[in-house]
Amino acid sequence: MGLAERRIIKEFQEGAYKNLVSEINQLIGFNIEFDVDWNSLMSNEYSDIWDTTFSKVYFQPLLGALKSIAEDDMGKEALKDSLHKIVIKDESDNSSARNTYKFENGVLVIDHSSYMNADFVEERTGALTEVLEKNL
Amino acid sequence: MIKSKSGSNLKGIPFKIDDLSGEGTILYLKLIDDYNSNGIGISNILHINLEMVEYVEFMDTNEEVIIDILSKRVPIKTKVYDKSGKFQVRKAFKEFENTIYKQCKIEVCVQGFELPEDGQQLGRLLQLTGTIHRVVLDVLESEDAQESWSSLFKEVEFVESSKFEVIKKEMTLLIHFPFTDVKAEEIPDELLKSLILKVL
Repeated sequence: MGLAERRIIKEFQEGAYKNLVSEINQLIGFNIEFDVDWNSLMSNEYSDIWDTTFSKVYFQPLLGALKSIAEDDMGKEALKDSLHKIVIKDESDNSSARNTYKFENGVLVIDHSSYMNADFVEERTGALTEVLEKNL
Repeated sequence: MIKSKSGSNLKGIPFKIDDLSGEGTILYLKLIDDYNSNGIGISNILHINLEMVEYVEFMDTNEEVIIDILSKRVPIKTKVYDKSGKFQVRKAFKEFENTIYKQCKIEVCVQGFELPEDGQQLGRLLQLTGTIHRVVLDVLESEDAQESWSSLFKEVEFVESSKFEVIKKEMTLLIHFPFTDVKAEEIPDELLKSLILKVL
């Protein structure tokens, strides 16, 4: 991993990532713990698109799904009671929405390629909403 | 173990399998009861057409556990419920309330017992909530039922019970049912409808 890639990641962490996390916390009404495996997200050579694909792959579906659940107090309460941590990684080079989300013991694990099928935001939002609703 | 209509328990020892013309293959079981455990003195023979045997369970009689099952590969139908979450069930209760208000202008609060942790039990509860929702809406289609309901009920409460009963208690319609027993039968629509109509 060269300096150029590390700079791109740092810029994302200090800019878009901070804003997205803050938006998510505001949406659900509490601060959720994030654990992002940045090294796994960087394990490809498409650093020129990371600034858009990270958002599209991981955060936009998360925002969409959480928005639909947290639309009322009942949903916010359910999230607060059951969702304690969100893990983001690209461990298995998965690009299918159906296999992206796992929920266990209050931890939501998002495992998806950090660049493939980035535009399939709606598909991932639906899959995540389903997983969350079944586990809250 | 063979249970007779009179209530006695008998054991059947297979002693012959034979082809009978026109009747198929017949399994002959010699029946013994608790008083004649050696089989002597009992002349009752049970004839079972093998076509009628769906499966055979091999049991460890000491431990009373099933060791193996020999079947005709006909699936035994037991319903498997999708796993659901408590949030989905609570959401279904809310939808139930909202739809009744929207369609009948009746405010009703849907209450449940403490929700189970098990996903399949929640899946069954979710499905049964849908059934009750549908039947109540069906009942409330007529004006006289709506009038009666408005004057009698403010709440619908699901009560976990081994029995199926629909009871009026003060301003609450109590529905007793094995909501979390995933092996129990589901609520029959028509019976539920008639029980609700009885208390209206």
